[in-house]
Order: sequence, then structure tokens, then C-alpha cells
Amino acid sequence: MRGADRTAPSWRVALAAAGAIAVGVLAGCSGGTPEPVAKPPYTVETIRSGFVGAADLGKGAVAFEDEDHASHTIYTPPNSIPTCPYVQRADDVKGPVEAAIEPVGGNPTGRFIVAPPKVGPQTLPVVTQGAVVFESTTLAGNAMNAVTAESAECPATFTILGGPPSIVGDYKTSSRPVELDGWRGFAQHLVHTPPADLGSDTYDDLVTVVVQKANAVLYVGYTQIKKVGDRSDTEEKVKDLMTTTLARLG
Amino acid sequence: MPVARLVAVVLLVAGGLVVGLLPGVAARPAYAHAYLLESSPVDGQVLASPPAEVRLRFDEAVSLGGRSIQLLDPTGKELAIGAAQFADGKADTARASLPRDLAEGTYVVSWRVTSVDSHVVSGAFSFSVGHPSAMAADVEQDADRVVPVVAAVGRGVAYLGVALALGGGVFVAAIWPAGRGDRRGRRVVWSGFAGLAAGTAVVLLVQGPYADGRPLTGVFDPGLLGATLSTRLGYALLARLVLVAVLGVVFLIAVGRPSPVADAEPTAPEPGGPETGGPEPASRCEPGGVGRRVVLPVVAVVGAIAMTLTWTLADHAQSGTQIWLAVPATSLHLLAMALWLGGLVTLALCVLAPAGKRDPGLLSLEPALPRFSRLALLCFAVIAVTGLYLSWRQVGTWGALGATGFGRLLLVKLAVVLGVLALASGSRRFVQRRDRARRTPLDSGAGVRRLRRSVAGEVVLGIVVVSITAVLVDTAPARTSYAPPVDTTVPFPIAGAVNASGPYGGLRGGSIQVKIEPARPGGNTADIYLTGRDGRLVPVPEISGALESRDRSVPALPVAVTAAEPGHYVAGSMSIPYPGEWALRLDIRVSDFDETRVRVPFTAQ
Repeated sequence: MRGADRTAPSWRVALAAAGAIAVGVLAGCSGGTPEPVAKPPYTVETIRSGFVGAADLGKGAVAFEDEDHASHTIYTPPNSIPTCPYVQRADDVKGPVEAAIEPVGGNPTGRFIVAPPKVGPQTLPVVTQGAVVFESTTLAGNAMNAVTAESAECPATFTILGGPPSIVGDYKTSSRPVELDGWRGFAQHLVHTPPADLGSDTYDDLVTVVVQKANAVLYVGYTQIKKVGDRSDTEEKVKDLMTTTLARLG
Repeated sequence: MPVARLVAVVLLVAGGLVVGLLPGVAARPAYAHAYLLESSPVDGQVLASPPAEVRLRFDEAVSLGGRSIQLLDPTGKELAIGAAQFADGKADTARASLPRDLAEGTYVVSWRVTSVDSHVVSGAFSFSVGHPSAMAADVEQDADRVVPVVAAVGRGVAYLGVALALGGGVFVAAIWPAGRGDRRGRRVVWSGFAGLAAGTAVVLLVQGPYADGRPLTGVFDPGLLGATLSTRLGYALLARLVLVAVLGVVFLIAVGRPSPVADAEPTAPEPGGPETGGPEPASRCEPGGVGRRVVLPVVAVVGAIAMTLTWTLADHAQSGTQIWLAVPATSLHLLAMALWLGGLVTLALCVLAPAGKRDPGLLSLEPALPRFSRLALLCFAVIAVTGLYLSWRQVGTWGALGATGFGRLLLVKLAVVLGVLALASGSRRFVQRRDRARRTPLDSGAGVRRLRRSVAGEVVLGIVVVSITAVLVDTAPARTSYAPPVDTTVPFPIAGAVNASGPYGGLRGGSIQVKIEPARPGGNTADIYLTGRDGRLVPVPEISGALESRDRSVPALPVAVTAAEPGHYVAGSMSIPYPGEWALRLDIRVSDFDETRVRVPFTAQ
């Protein structure tokens, strides 16, 4: 009777489908995410696919390589990773605190800027970014540890008394850990308020995210000009932006 | 109305979750998956001299292994330390002696223990001797990511095996009178026993490397296997293997002779002959018939219950509160799943699938189909009620449902279960239509083909549910892993302290918003916003903070608060020592002379 050993083909298909789904679930696979354009280990070329492009930032943004090193106003080497922006111009910081460090054993991509042609409170933000690609994950991890340790030395407050008017004023910094799609690091928040006698009602709001994954350390600085009294939303915006761009790196 | 009943079950699942997950209904005890309550040295502590030992206290009893506590020096090199052991005989506190000659620098303590629910938890923290070094070592907690995947596959195979063995066994021995003589039915059940044994053996072998953080090549390490066998999970897995043998013998005896159960069910007026194959009634008169009618079912039932307990006495049910209810509920959940899925597979493969050269359109579904339909309805009811309770117990709040991996996985499982119910309702309608037509002895045509497709879909989705469950049981329950961020707003307290015409006059009628993440023991970040009555941030000259225990059992802990944008202040390294009720005390200076104090209460999970 039904003991015959022939199983209907539809059953085989059904069971095969169930098995495939089961294996997928058990292996922790998840579908639905777009295929990344690059995968670890990264190269200097492939890591750039995770950079913020003009299209990512919005209409009117332009992208270019920062070959003149930010006009040397707050010079840091183009191969470096930021740890405490602007601190090199501070007048009240005791002890050596590095604004950026140059890691050993890595190949830098250079520094790229995406920004509107003219910057103001109502314009698009300014994004400054770069990455260093290492020969191994261990070297990248060591570099990230060094960057994290140095950024922890960044003072909570400092003041720049002299120099170009655009950088004079009080600086407040704070940092918190970040994890974005497997990229781990920190987001350092820096707020610059001009001296009161300048009569400015705005502040510069900069969040620098430094993250590492596999053999690469990548950083993104995101700057907005905000009105005093308005809440900073820069960290949320840069995280949202990087969630999109880092997904391209796999 | 069968459809109405099925709809009621669906509503019970969905509606019950709604009720069970209401914030006010959910209690907030500690649940499953041990977590570290406190350590000595504490995380980030800088000591003048090397500590004599490291001590870890967990929220529940844990099991220790050979590598439960490791010490890494600043270069990442593992240092030789004393063996991990329980401190003062307490099963929730582990200690290990440290070398006396630790040089200056930052050290990482890596820990890895097994919870009461048999799942491995791990973590790391650092301390420094003298001065912190620039780089603390990275800790790789799971050296071999294949190990947990293999363990999950083993659990999945075991779940599927127990379903085929128990559900298929009941179907063949009791529901389908012709089943005992059907080779294909027996094969389903034996494959279930084989899968159950194989899956259990895999879990038994892999648990050692998993608990100790070793690669998969450690599965045959006698030391690791011995360590596993000395744990609660090891006992449970051994007992399961014994029960596989016992129930296998029971099934062998049961299918060796005609069934007295089937005898009791009159199968007339079925003329199907070999298709419906009623057993011979002569067995009632055979010697040993009483033993077969009474002893065998009793042994089978006791064995099946004991079998489910080998899971529930070593998993999430075994930790947290209401263990007395969680263990039987989980056992019932598992048993109902096994009876339904195993029976469904056997029904599909042996009764509904065309065999041999018979006309695939001519099948007798009596009495197996209506009997199984009634059993499936009962199983769904049990699964719905127990699943509802277990979901509430392990999730607790709506927020945890969407914010944790466990919660999201549970939602996926629920969606698939609802798909199963939708298909099952179609099958049930088919059965009811047949009943109304007074049971045609031979079913034919499109109805059977639709039923076959529907049952096939149920089987596929059932296997998906089992696979999700195999991952779910090794995921930290949402109650444990979810800590809702604190976001509370209090009015600015003393309007009189602020000069309305002064620079901080905007604070009159304003408020203070405090956000704390992740609001659980360890490092936290607090964001403090001083908002004026016009909704804009108002900066003040100075703000300082302290963390106060609500029960006043510990002195106030200072909290460093720094400024961010004007009116926003950040406590970036606020360390909460242990879960419970706390208050963030803020001293806010609003002028050269005036200061106001605000306490913002919150709960650390």
C-alpha cells in the first residue's frame, strides 16, 4: 500500500526548500540587504567606495581632494587620522595633545572634502574624510587603539585666542563609542563658539567619527553651522549618512 | 465553526501578546543569560599596586571552565594566573589569583562562563597598574565562529528529530491504523530517532569548545567533553540519549504487533481493504496484551515527558522567575510542536503523498486525517497559550520586541507561525467539508491536491519555525539584553532663583531633559538639555553632577559633566555600579551666586 518508496516530486522540492531555508536561518544569514561593492580586506581603491560622495550629501554639493591641506589654517598631515581637531592652536592646553596621528604601516587614501560652494547656517554641511588601509587587521587594530588613546587625551574645553577669526573662540569636546554595521570606533563632538564680543549667534558643530573594520581605519568629519539655542543634530546626521555609505563596503 | 476556532487561536496569539507586553503588566526581574554585576578591580580602575586577585560577581550561578578568567598584558599576551574557582563557595562569584609582579600598564581581564540556562556569556574589562598604558589588548571572545553555527545546526536537527520521533511515532502507532504496517511511516519515525540522537551528540561534543572559546577541532578533547558532562546540560544531553534508546525500543515493540488503541476505534464502514488497513482484533486475546495496552503507552508517555524535560531543565526556562511555571509551559510547548510537526510530516509523506502505481487522485484519508486534524487543533491551542506566556516572560516590553535581536527573531517566528495557521485553517476547512459530506471513503480530485499543497506549505514553514527556534534558544532573551534608554524631562525647579530679566531668564518656566544610554550597569552617557520656555537651549555658567543610590546604601558618586553646544551638557563616562533605582543629581549654577539642585530619578536595568 502506501509503503511504496516513491515520493512525489513536489515533496522533494518542498523539503529541499525547507532545508535550504533552515540552513539559511541556522547559519544566521539574512537577506534583503544590497550587495556591497567592496569587501574586506580593503585596498586604497576599494575603501573609497565607502566615502561620502556629492550625491550622498545632497543637491549642490561638490567633492574634491583636499590637496592644500585646509589652507594650513589647522594643518594636519593628509595621511593622518584626527584625534582632537583644532587643539594644536589652543592657548590653554597643558601638556602635549596631538590633533591627529600618523599611523605606522598603512597606506592613506588622502583627504577628501564634500561641501557646498559657500558655507553658512542654511547650507549643506561640510564633510572631510579619509582612510588608512593597512596590511593586516592587527596593524589596523593597533592604529585604532593608538587613535582612541590619543583622542581620550583631548581636553573637554580649550580656547584659541589668536589666529584667523574663524577659529578663535571656545571649544568643547566630548566623545562616545560608535558601532555602524560592524565598524567600531568613536564619535567625537566638538563645538566651537566664537568670542561673545564678535556678536555671533551661531556655533560650529563638528562631529568626527573614526571607525575601524578589518584592515582599514576610516574617518568622517561632519561640520554644520548652527544657531545658538538650537540643538545639535550633527551626530545623528553623520551616523545616518555613514550607515548608507559604509554599507557599500560590506 | 472550525474557521472561527482557528481565527480565535490567531487572535489569542496576537491579542495575548498585546496584553502580555503592556509595560505595566511586565515585571522586571533578572532573566536568563548571566551578566556581570560587579568586578574587582572595577572596569577602568587605576591601582597603585598589582591586585592579588580578580573577582567577578554575576547575577546568577555560573559554571566555570579552564579558561573562564584570562589576563592579557598591554601587548595582548596571555599571562599565567591561578585557576578560576568559586569565591567563598558562592556559585555566582568567581575568582582567580593574579601574579604579584605585574608591571605598570593596562591589563585586560577576559571572562567566559556558562549560565544556568547552559548558554555561554563572555566579556572583558580593563584595569591599570600605576599608569594606564596607551594601548589595551583586544580580546577575541569567539575565536571560531563556526562553533556556534554547528551548535545551532545540532539543536535544529535535534528539534526536528524529536518532532519526527514523537509526533511521527504517535501518528503511526495511534492515529493511523494502517501505520504500523507502513514501511514509510516507520522510516519517518526511525529517521526522527536518528536525527535526535545525532543532533544531541553534536550539541554534546560542541558544547565544550563553545564554552571554553576553543576552535571546532576541540570537539574530541576528552577534557572538554568531561567538563561538559559534569554540567547540567551534559546530564540532560546524556539523559536524552538514553531516552532515545528507551523510546526507540518502545516504538519497536509498538509497531511490532497490532495496536490495541486502533482496535478500540471502529473503522467500519471503510471498505478500503489495504488502504485503510484496520488491525486484527485478535491481539486482545494474546498473552501480554495488558502489558501492551497499559505498560507500553505509560512508558511512552513518561518517556516523552522526560524527553522534553531534557531541554527545559537546561535552557531559558531554568533561569529567572516563575521557573515552576516556565518549565512545564516550555515542555508543553515543545511537546505540542513535536506532536503537530511530526504528525504533519508523517501525514504528508505517508497518507497524502501518492505512492506506487496507485491513482494519486484516489486516496483514503480516513481515519487518519480527521483524527490528526483534531490533534493539530489541540496542539495549536497549547502552542498559542504557552508561546504567549513564554514570549511575555522572555521579552517583557514592546520596546524590547523591536530593539533586540531576540525580539526581532521572535517577530519573524510569529509571522511564520501565522502563515502556518493560515494554511492550517484551509486544511481544517477541507476536513470539515468532508465531515459534512459524511466522509467519503475515497477522496479524489482537486480537493486532495489542494490539501496536499497546503500541508506541504505547513511542513516547510514548520521546519523554518524549528530552525528559528534553534537560533532563538541560544540568543540572549530580550528581557536581559534590552535596556531602554532613559529619556525624562523635569521642570526647572525654582523659578525664583532665576532673574527673569537676566541672561538665564529663559529658564523660568523651562525644563531639564535627561537622556541616559544604555541605562544599565557599566559605562553610560548622559545628555542633559536645559530648555527655556520658548523651547530653545539655554546655557548656564556651570553644572555638576552626582549619581545617588535611591536606597542611600552607597555614597553619592561624582559624575563629570562637560559642555557640548550651548545649553547641552554631557556626562560621557557615568559609571553605574549595579542595576536598580538611581537618581542623577544636578547642581546648576545660574548666576555668580545662585545655584539650584535637581534630582532626576531613573532605573538601571
